[in-house]
Amino acid sequence: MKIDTTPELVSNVYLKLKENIVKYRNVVGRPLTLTEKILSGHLNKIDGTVFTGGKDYVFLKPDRVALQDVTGQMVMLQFMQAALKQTSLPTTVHCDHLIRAEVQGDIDMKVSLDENSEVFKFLQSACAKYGCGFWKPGAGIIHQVVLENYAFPGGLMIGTDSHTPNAGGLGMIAIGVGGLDATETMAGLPWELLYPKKIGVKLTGELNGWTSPKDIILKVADKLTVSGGTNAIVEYFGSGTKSISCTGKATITNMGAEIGATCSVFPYDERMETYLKYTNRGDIAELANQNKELLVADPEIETNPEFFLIESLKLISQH
Amino acid sequence: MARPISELSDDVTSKDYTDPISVALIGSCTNSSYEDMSRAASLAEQAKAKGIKAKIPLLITPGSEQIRGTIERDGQMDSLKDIGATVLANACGPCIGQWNRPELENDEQNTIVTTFNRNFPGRNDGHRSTLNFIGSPEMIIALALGGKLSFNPLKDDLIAADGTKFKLEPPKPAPEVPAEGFMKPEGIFIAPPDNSDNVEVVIDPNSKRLQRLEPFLKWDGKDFEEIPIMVKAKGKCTTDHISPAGAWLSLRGHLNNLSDNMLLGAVNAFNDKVGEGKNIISGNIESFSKIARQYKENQMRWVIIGDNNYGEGSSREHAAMTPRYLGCAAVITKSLARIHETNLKKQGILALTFSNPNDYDKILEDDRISLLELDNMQPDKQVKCIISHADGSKDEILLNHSYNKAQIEWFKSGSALNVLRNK
Repeated sequence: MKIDTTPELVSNVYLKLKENIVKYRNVVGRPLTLTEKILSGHLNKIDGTVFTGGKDYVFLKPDRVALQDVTGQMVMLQFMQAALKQTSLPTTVHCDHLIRAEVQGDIDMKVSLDENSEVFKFLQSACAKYGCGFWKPGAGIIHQVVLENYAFPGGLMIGTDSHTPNAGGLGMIAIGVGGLDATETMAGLPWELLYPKKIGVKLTGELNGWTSPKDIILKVADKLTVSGGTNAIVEYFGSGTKSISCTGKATITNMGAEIGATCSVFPYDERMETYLKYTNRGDIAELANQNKELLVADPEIETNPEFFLIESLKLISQH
Repeated sequence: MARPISELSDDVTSKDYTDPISVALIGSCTNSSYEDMSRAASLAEQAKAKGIKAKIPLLITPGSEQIRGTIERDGQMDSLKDIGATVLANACGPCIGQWNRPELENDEQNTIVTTFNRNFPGRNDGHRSTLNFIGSPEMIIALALGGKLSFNPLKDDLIAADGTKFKLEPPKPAPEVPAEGFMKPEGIFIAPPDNSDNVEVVIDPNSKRLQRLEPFLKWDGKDFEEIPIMVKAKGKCTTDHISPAGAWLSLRGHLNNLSDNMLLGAVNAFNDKVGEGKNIISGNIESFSKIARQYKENQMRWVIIGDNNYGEGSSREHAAMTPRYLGCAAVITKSLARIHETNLKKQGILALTFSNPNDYDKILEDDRISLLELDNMQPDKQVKCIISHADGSKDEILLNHSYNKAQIEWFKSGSALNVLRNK
């Protein structure tokens, strides 16, 4: 099992997106949002059903799985019970949650390594056994490492942590799940999701001075409240999205969890291209550029977003 | 709720927030990008030029070794250290409550400011009276320089080392990626071997934190007859009431040891106690896990009765696994939270709801529950349930379920994993 997001993997995802988007657009008979494009592109099958958000269940084929060191333990213990040789899709484990802060980095790390060595050894050996990549303690926090290495526009991933949607900053639908969902997906079963409702947030204007991506998500959270995003995917669009860096977008999608959203996502743009190139993934950026129409909402959505627009924010006020 | 910095000062007074800040924290997975750290460093450099430091402890959590190494190389780290910052490990740490604060002896109200993503009580340091205010990295650095929550960097002056007053400038526009590219740290990732036939998964049989799972037993084909009630949960019973986190976090890989926390937070409608119920063998009031262990030894199954939206909260499957492990046969509630309902089904516990929610009120502490004709369980067909009261009277009620055909097999096989393994 190749752990990296290879150009081959991304090409295959885009081929499937291309095929399914046309089909699903015909089924619903209207332009599609980016969320609808990515989800339909990962559907197990398209059978003519128009899915209703918050009501219908769909079976999807994710592109990757990410586990952290607390929830990942039960995932691996359950996978051992499945009596399978290897994970069926690229999977990584990240040791980040078990490290406790007290004094400073290297001293804390030493103490935590001692305290948790048996858990880290278990996870490392389970990764080796079942074909998963293992990020050691100290390598970084799961969502940051995924953004730097694995996330890609138009992809679908699941992770056993509620801030998995961080990868939405790189145009990915990335959703936090329970351990058994991860185990079953690793075992090759399709993954079941309550089809999300749609929330559109239109951004115009530009960030400047003291204003930052954090202020945008705090404002959105203030307006939508802690449960306003429940069973919904928040899709950002509008000219303002381009004024936010890829990592700034990730700050916003990360905290979509705080309004209960299934996840949040941004359309592919030059800022994501830049980030991909500077993190040694120029080949993925090239593929994304060639398939850009798959990685943004249909143009009619931008001009006529009424059917899913919830919030419109102009990026000027200091917050 | 969110507010502009210009209104924070008034809120400090009107809402009685603690004005002096005790600690400022920046970074985490949410806010430790190259751009974030560069903007934070830009403010730190203004302070250094005026000869001042942060007035309070300033902690930095880099999101990854790649970002840590890069800002060390490019100088942002030094700029932050120059104003007194301490760099923590590249890990979750204070953002998820993995933070020791021995200086807080009496759980006194105190204020921290962070760039993290969550700020509910107890989240960061385990102290419910710590108030966490969330902002951007540049704003948190400004607050660390001002030292108090009411400090508004757009309006208020700082005092330079030479006694002159100055205002902070907004952070300089920062590069989103380093011109020289990111550092490429080595030795932090292990790829799996091509052939893993000889790899053994390492679990010490005597471990207190890890335990190999044993498959749950398949259903024996018999109806559940006259089985006792572990708890009749009253009000909110989330996954955190069923399987609490906190100190139990370290036992998430050991089902047996973790099961000691089963239903610890559940309020029992029979006695209004939290985490305790009546043991029908001894007649004593004991913790649920203790009772369940005795029932398990005696091969007795039992049920949980729940209120509205039982099992809401997180997707943690432990909230279904610990009851299953200790012998729970069914969860019968007014309504079930969606993800927990699926988790119950997958772990082999019958997930049922009252067809008439008022039937919840019929259930008394010394009742026994029978679930009948399970061999003939079908999608969209209600399950027959008899409540046998201590006075000899009986109530027959119907229970709803949302199982489809494949899910009924999960129940019959003992769990969804058993179905998968038997394929």
